[in-house]
Amino acid sequence: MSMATKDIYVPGQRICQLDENIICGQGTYDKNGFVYSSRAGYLHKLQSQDGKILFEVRTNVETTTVPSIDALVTARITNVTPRFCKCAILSVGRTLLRETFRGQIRKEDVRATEKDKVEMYKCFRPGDIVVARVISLGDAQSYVLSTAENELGVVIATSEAGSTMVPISWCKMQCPKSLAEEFRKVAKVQPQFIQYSGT
Amino acid sequence: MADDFKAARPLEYYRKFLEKDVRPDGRELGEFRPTILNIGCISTAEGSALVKLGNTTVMCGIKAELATPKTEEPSNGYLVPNVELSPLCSPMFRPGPPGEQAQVLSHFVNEVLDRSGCIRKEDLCIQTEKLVWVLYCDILCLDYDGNVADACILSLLAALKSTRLPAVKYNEETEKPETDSAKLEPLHILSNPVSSTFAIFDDRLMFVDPTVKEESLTTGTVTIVTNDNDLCIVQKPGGSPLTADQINTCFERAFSRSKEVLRLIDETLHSIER
Amino acid sequence: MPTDSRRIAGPESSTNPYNFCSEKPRHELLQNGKRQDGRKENNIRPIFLKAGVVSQARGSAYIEQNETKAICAVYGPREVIRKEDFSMKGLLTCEFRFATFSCRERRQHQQDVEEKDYSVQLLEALEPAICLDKFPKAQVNIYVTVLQNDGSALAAAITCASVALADSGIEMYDMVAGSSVRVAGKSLLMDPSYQEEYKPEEDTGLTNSGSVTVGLMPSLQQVSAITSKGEIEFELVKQAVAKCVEVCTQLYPVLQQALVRSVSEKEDEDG
Repeated sequence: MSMATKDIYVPGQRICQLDENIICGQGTYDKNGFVYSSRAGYLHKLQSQDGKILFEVRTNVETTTVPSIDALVTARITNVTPRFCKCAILSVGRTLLRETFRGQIRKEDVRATEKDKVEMYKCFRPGDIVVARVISLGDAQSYVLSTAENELGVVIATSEAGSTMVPISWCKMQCPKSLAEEFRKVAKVQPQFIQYSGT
Repeated sequence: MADDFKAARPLEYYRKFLEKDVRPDGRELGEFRPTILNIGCISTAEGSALVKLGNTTVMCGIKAELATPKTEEPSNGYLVPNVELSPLCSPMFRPGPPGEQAQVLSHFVNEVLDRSGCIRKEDLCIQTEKLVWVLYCDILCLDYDGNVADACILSLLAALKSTRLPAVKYNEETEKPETDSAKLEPLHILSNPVSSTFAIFDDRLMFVDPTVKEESLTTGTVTIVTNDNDLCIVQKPGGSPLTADQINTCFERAFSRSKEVLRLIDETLHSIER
Repeated sequence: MPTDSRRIAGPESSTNPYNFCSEKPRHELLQNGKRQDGRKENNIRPIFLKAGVVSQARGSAYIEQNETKAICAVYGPREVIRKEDFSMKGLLTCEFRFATFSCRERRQHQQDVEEKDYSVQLLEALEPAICLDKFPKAQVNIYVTVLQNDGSALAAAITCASVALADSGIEMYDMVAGSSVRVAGKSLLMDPSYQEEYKPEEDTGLTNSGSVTVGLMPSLQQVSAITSKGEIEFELVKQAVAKCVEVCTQLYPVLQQALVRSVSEKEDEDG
């Protein structure tokens, strides 16, 4: 159960005294036995099942998001090589990013089975929109993503004829105009199964 | 979901709106964003103006200094316009020397000043061969939401109109200038250049005053600078071809825009004087 | 000076016309206990603060202290373009600029020593307040431009930047408020104007002459930055810092109001 209050807090503002029934949620931190706000936004009090109260300070606008491990991201493929493909992360969870982050999907992370038979150019093409999961923060350059789940992979792709393709199997899509078939690692889009985390 | 669609397929998202001749922000195709003008907001500058075109915000400050003229033009002053697209105004820009776009804009503004003849460089002369005015017209973009060119020209014209120079005399005996800061004089503005920018989308649809989102999707732009009742500059750097009819519509809109803008400047100037 | 082909060049040198005025008014800092603009020693100028002014930025703020006007925009967290070492902590950068027309003497386009100096001081004042561990390997960029300088520009920039940061939603332990004081002889002039500011080249003939700027996290009551210029006795520095801390604490409600206003405005837009 969530309860939004009308109280606006700003960073550094003391919310209340910390006791064992209080959990510091997002947008708050504890110091010297008190709970403080770390954001400018509305205070939310959430009742958790074990009777504890979770404090969160939420903003109305998108929160500042960076890709975190296990988060679902939407990305546009920018570059495909035999060993990996590069992509630009467009959104994290439900939050649309203002600026993209670089990510990469390695050959071994494309699908869960028959990993050694993966051919990158039969899975992704530049311009495709994919849904993927962050598996590591990677190096200084890019995040490492994975599509090795049924629900993950290409969701939107454009055919060589220039129209949006329709998925016909887990590894093929068809162009409605030219009826040509192209290979992709297709995502089985079932929104009810996708658990957005990190939002 | 609309947000996701917008991010993933911006072109398709746009076409859906343009099919019905409206834009995602609710404007009609020929509609400029609300224009707000504030003149004389910076007192450390000799002239200044702040322009808001929707979210796009541009500030022009004019600093006047004294210098010796060039030997080849002994009775001409200097006009030095520069546009700065600082990293503050948009995530597209990074700190450092001006990028390509800023350079193009600076040259565009310079061209407008030159061609329109709104200020005669001879008027900036104090003593031939010895002393002339330099007008540094620095235009700073504070919020880049598209169509900065139009905002730059508007802020420049308004700032020039608000510029007051102190009376300076050249003392021939001491060969030094003498300034009387109590006497302030306005500049002679001979004409009123106004710029209007049109964006071409999908090779045929034209709309005015594109936002930054729209700019990134367009297939070409046309910028028309009018000078009172004359045409001053027409710029169409590549992009989709246009028919003569389309160009004519642009001209008509540019002239009507010019009237709107000049009325706005006059009203703002009047309100300060009062 | 090397010519810059990327900008429209003016004449090689030019001078401010006001340098040739016949009489230069000499002004005393204090007359009968009052300053030139009529303030008392302890009085600060009224502050106008507004958050959320740059649409393209993640967070932004505008500050006006009478004639001192500054704007700040915050971008990020975004990826670090240049290849650097992997770090679990976020990176913070600050760029402090004076607009060319912001001062009595025209500023150049290139960043000068004073601006670089202020950039570092701004960074040092803000960094302790930000939860850098919340955005590993990403960076947050803060850009401040002073549109008009009538003294205490650094203090105004600190206050403005901290509001812009909070507006951006980047998590912070506390806000940072800035204030500065001019020390002249035995008197402490709070929030000095441009004319009252300490200028090293000006010989005042006073034994104690300088200025102190303090950045304070008002809720935690921790000082994040102190910088001083000029020659000041230790006892006076202590007094000056105490005064600044007092003023910064007074500023907290102003910062808070600006943010509360912007949060409720955003709610109205959404609803």
